[in-house]
Amino acid sequence: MLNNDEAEDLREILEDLYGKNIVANWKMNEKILEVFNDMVERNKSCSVAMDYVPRPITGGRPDLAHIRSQLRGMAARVAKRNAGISGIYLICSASTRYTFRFKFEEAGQGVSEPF
Amino acid sequence: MTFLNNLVYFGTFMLVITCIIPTPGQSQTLQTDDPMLRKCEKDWWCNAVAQPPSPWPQPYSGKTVQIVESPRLLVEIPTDLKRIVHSDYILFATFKDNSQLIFEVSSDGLFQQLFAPLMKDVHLTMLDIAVIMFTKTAKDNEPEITSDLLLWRFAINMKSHFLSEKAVVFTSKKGPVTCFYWHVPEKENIGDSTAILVNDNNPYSFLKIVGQSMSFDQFKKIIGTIRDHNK
Repeated sequence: MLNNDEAEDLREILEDLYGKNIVANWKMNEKILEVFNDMVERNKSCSVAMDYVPRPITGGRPDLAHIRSQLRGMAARVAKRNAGISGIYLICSASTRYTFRFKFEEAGQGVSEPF
Repeated sequence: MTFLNNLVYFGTFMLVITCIIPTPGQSQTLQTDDPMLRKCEKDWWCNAVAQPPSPWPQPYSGKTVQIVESPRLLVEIPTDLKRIVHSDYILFATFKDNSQLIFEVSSDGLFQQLFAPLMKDVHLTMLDIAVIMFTKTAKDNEPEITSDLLLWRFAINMKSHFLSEKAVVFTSKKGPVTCFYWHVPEKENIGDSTAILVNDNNPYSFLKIVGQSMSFDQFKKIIGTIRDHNK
């Protein structure tokens, strides 16, 4: 289970990607974190996503514990980037945001959880 | 009366789609280069296109509930539902055997917001984008207008997401409706199937349907029920 700080950091990062209105309905949970971890891995080649990549990357896929420990730093980098960055790989980041949105919806609404 | 009962009672469920994805940072400069496309030639997905059209699949013949989705498509799904969840643009239908159908509409509003404020003078429609994904490759001639080029490359890039696993992409056409569909098996013949549907009568959106934990035969039967919803 994510603690309050982790949930807040993750929400801040996702709001940067999708906007507050969309993310407002998502419950910040470990499923969301898993999807985010997959997106980070998928999106490493997009320069904008490098803000979210846990540092340092030594190769291989970062595990959930590691990415949890990095949420604070990622959220800080998002805030710094939003202060004025230009020249991102728009196509790459847009296709990843587009593809992963429904996965976040599914995870954030508990659709895939047993009932 | 439960939501499901409402659904059956009214026969048709209309999903209102409002896609809002603001582009982060208004200071972006137009960047039509894409590092993935630059080096994709050796990747399988980069050169993958759909098969020539095959006959429209035979429809599911059991008891069904009708769903109407953009772009003006009527889909019939089996009634053995366990749960339906919907957000503004997605509908999740879970069946008693825990298989699942996910309906996701992509409208032109979505792309206006993904690429805003760069979407000026765009000529490509959502229908075009879906068709480009499955009929064009990085080797084809690209459009000259910058906004169209952006969407063209987006469509080619999307192959890397949709076709991350090697799969044969089938095409079927019935009247104004075209369906691109494929299956990635996980265990025996059960796995994840995906379909992208466009309707010549409504080029402003396309529909993605994902079948999870479902056989390809069952998925194709559901695809077989789809038709233009010409009210």
